[in-house]
Amino acid sequence: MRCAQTARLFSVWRDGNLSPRQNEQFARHLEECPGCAEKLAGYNLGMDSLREDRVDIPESFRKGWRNRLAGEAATERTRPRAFTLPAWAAAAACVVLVAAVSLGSGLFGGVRGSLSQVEKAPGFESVQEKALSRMSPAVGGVVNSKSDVAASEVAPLAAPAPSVDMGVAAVERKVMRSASLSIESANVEQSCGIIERLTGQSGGFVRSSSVSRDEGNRLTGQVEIAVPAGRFDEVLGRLGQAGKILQKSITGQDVTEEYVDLGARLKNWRAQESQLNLIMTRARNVEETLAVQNELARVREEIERLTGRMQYLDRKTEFADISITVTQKGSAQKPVWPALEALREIGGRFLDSLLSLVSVAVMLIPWGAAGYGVFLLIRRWYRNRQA
Amino acid sequence: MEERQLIQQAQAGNRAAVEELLGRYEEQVYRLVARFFPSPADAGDVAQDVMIRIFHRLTAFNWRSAFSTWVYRVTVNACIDEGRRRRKREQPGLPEHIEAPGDGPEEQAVRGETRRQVREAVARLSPEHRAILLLREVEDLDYGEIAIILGVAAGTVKSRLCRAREAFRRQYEQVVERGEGHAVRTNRTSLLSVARR
Repeated sequence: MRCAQTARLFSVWRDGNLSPRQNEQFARHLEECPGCAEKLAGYNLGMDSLREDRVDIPESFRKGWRNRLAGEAATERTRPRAFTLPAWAAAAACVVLVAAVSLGSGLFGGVRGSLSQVEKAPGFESVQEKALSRMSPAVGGVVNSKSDVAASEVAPLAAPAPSVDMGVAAVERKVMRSASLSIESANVEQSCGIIERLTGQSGGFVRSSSVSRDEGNRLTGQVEIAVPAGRFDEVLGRLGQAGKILQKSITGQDVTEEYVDLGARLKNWRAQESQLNLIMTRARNVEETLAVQNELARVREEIERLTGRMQYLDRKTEFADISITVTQKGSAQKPVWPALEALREIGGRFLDSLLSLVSVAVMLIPWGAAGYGVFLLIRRWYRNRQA
Repeated sequence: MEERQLIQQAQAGNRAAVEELLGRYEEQVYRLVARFFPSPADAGDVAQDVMIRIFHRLTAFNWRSAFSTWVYRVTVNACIDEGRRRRKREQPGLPEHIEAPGDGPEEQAVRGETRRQVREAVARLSPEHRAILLLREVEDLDYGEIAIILGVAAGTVKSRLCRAREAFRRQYEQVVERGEGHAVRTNRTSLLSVARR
């Protein structure tokens, strides 16, 4: 065993995981090599010193986290939390909920009705229903019926959504929605134009739009749009005007819990910031001022991070992304018989190899002629000599 | 109260249960954090953050591992995150003068110096190496448990531990070589102060 190998085994040896044979070789090398033995001693000394290093728990830590916990628990109480209700209270809550939903359906009926008149494009109902069925699991049982979802989705159309009070007040449901569609059309450019016009009418915007021509001279369009979340279903339904919908997928992600959590944490950090500002006014010397400033910088960094994330969630839930691929009608290739295709390929390859052989033969002809000439000369010289 | 019941009550939002449960793990958390961040002020701050993080994530504990393993996982992740953040901003805080309890003043000084050297060497390691070294050498956890905490395969633990130990040995040697003069001075100072008394 060499020194480098031995050094590599220090860690395994320390954990007692060397095989008997390795152990024997390891011990023999250490006996023969004072350098490695010394190195191992240093290795063990460091590890043992680390192991023996005791840590005393300061009282400030024991008290500190308990104080902070008290503050956090107070904030937590304001967050929505799962809790159990007595049976009678649950029954009463159900009755109130049913009444509220019925009332809500009545109130939103007008808005819904006017929307349905606009949305008479074929397939709209199926789009709507599929979207609702996909949304239900995402909202984690909070929204239990399609009418509930319909009410919550139509509400932003009727009035702007209330702003969130950093997780303390009641928070509107925050759902990030997106869809991807594949549309077939006889005129791809016209379809892309229709999609862009629909986007503009809905108050959204086009993220990107491109039309390209493939090898078979067929056009393909790719349009990425963002539409207001409240008009997501409406736009999806109207996209049928751009052509025949071949494929469609809708996804929704509920980020309400994260948003509320961020709000509560932000509130807590802001409270810490104001406390630190107060402490800053009481700082007596440069050292104390610097210490408070450092802490303030850390707190503000955290505040900026949380604010940034909340703004991102706001943007992603205000607008829903839709990605549409428009293909030209009849762009699908004609089906080809696989065996025929295979035979054609074999034939092609055979021809290729034949051509290669011919080219090799052509290359060899001058060499063959030269060789034959030399052979004739040698034979003549030999016969003359014999004669 | 049994730990299982305590965890369930804490997850249900019982404030007293949360405090008792966290209290049982405060030493484990502080011990690890203090070795990660040698400056007592930093260690105190980070350890408090970890305790609050555990409180916030209590409901995420899903009984797939022992609660102590989960606490280690939260602690280590917080320490690695904080270690990386600090590396970008500045050098890790170096240990301050450490008083060692017990024995005479000379032994105290020598022990205090050894501790300082050990902690300085640990502070010079990457956060990932620090984590694995402390979990194995100080917390005495086996490869399987470390693999769960770090979210890596057991084979990776073995190879990473080997590299971490080697890195620690090199750093420790450097610190000791550089600090030998300092150690002698410390001993002389403590001896002189004793003599003056």
